[in-house]
Amino acid sequence: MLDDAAIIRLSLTEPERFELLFQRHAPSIQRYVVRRLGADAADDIVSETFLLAFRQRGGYDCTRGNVLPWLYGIATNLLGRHRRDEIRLYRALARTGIDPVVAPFTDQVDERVTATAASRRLAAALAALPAAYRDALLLVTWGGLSYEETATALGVPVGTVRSRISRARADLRSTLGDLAPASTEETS
Amino acid sequence: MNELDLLTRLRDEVPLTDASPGARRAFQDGLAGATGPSRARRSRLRLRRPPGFSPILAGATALAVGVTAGVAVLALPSGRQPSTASPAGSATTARATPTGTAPTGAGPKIAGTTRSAQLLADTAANTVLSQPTVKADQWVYRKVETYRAPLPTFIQTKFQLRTYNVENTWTTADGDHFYTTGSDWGLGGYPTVPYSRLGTLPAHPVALDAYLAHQQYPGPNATTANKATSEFSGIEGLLIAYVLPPKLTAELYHALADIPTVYAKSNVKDIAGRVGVAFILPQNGQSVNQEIILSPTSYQVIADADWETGGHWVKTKTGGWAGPVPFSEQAFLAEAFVSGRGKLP
Repeated sequence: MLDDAAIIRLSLTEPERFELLFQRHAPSIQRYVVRRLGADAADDIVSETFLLAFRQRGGYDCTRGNVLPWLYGIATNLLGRHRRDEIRLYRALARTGIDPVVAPFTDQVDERVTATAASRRLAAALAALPAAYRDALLLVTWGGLSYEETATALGVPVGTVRSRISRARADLRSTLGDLAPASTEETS
Repeated sequence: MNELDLLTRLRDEVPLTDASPGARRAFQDGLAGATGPSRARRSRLRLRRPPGFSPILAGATALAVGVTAGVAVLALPSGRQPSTASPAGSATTARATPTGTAPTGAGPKIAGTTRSAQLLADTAANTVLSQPTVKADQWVYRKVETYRAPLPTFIQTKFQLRTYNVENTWTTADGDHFYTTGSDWGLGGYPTVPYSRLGTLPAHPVALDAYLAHQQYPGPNATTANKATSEFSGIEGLLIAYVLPPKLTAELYHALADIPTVYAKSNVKDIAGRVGVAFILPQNGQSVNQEIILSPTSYQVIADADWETGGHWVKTKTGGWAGPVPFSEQAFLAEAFVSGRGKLP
C-alpha cells in the first residue's frame, strides 16, 4: 500500500491520485469536524480541507510521512471561521442535556438524552475555553494526535502545546469539580 | 473518569464512518475544477472505482462470440458456480449480513501447502498467456464481496461499522469508468502506473520489480522491506485495477515470485470458501501480511487480503485504542464482459 508521502509525490504529476488521501483520511477528519461543528456544516469543511491540501501539496515536506497532522491543522484553521457556531453547540448541550451533534446518528429520542451531569459541565467548560487551548486539547483528544503532531498541525512549538493543554485541563477540572477527579497522568 | 475520559466519550458518540456523499462530491467537484475539464472528468470516473478490479477470467472463445451478441459470460475462477453468484439486486441484498457476521472462509488463510513461488509463477504465466487481449473500453461486470474482521468486542460501540458487503460493479478494462449500485467499498489495490503507460513497463521481471520499487522509494536508502512492500503492492494494484494484456499479467506473476520473502501456498481459501493458490508477502517492518489469491484453473486473481499478525490492543494515553490491522479481504464472485454499464450477464 502506498504511503501518504508517496501519494503526494505521485499526485504532483498525476493529480487524480490525491483522491486516495481523501479515501484514506476523510473518515477521521470528518468525525473530528462533526464532533466540533455538527454534521450539517461538516461536508463543506471536510471537502475544503482536502482541496486546500491538494492546492498546497507542492509545499508539503514528504519526509514527514503521515499527512494526518497536516490535514487536521488545515481543518482546525477552517473551523476557526465557525467559532461562534461551535460554542453555540457546546452551550446547547450544557443547557438542554441533548447533544445536537449526536442527534442525527440515532433515531431514538431516549438515546439523544445522553449527557450526564459531567458531560453537560464539560460542554460548558469547552465553550468557555480560549480558542487556542480548545484547539490543542481537541486535536489530542478528538483527533488522536500526539503532542508533537499537534504542534505540527498548529504550527507552534511542542512546549506551547503542552502548556496550552495543561491549562485547558486545569480549566476543565475546575469546572467539573468533583465529577472529574484530578489525574496524575499527563498525556504526551 | 477524568476530563480526558469524558472528552473521549463525547467524541465516541460520533461514529467513524466513510466520508459523507456530500463531502465526497464537493471534493471531487473541486478536484475536477483544479485539474482541468478533460482530465478532471477522467479522474473522477477513475477514482470512484473501488480499488478492486482484477483481470478478466478465462473464456476467450466465449468472449469473441459473446461480445458480438452484447454479453459474454466468463467462467468463474473456482469452486463457486454462477448460480451462487447470481446477478444484481436480489442476491446482493439477500447475502448482506449484519455487522460482525463472518462469511465463509473469513480469516487469515496462512493455512495451506507451501509451494515454490517460482513454480506457481511459471504455471500461472503459461496459463494466462492463452487468454485474450481485451480492448481498453470493454465493459466488465463484477460482483465483489468484501469483508473486514470486526474489532474486538471490548472496544465495540453502538456505532460499530459494518464488516461485510456485496455489490455489483461495472468498469471498463482500462479502469477509466466505474459504476456501482452498492456503497463503493474497496480495500486495496491502487494502480501506480496509468493504463496508458503500461506499454512502457520493463519486460524483465527483475527490472519490473526495480521500477515499481523506485516509484515509491526513489532515494538510495530504501530498505529490502521498503522495496518488497512497494513491489508487491504495485503489482497487486495493477492486477486488480485493470484488465491487463496477458503477456503483462504473466510478467507480473514472474515479478511477484522474484520478490525476496514472497512465497506461494496451495489450497488456500477465500472469504467465499473457494480454494485457490496464493502469492503471500509476509509481514515486515513496512507492511502487514498481503495475499493475492489466484484461481487454481484460470490463474486469474479471485481475491486479495491483508492482515497483521501478533500485537495486541492497548489503550492509548488519549483514551482510544490501538492494535493490529484486522483481517480484510475482497473476493470477486462473478465476472463477465457486458455491453455497457448496468448491463447484467
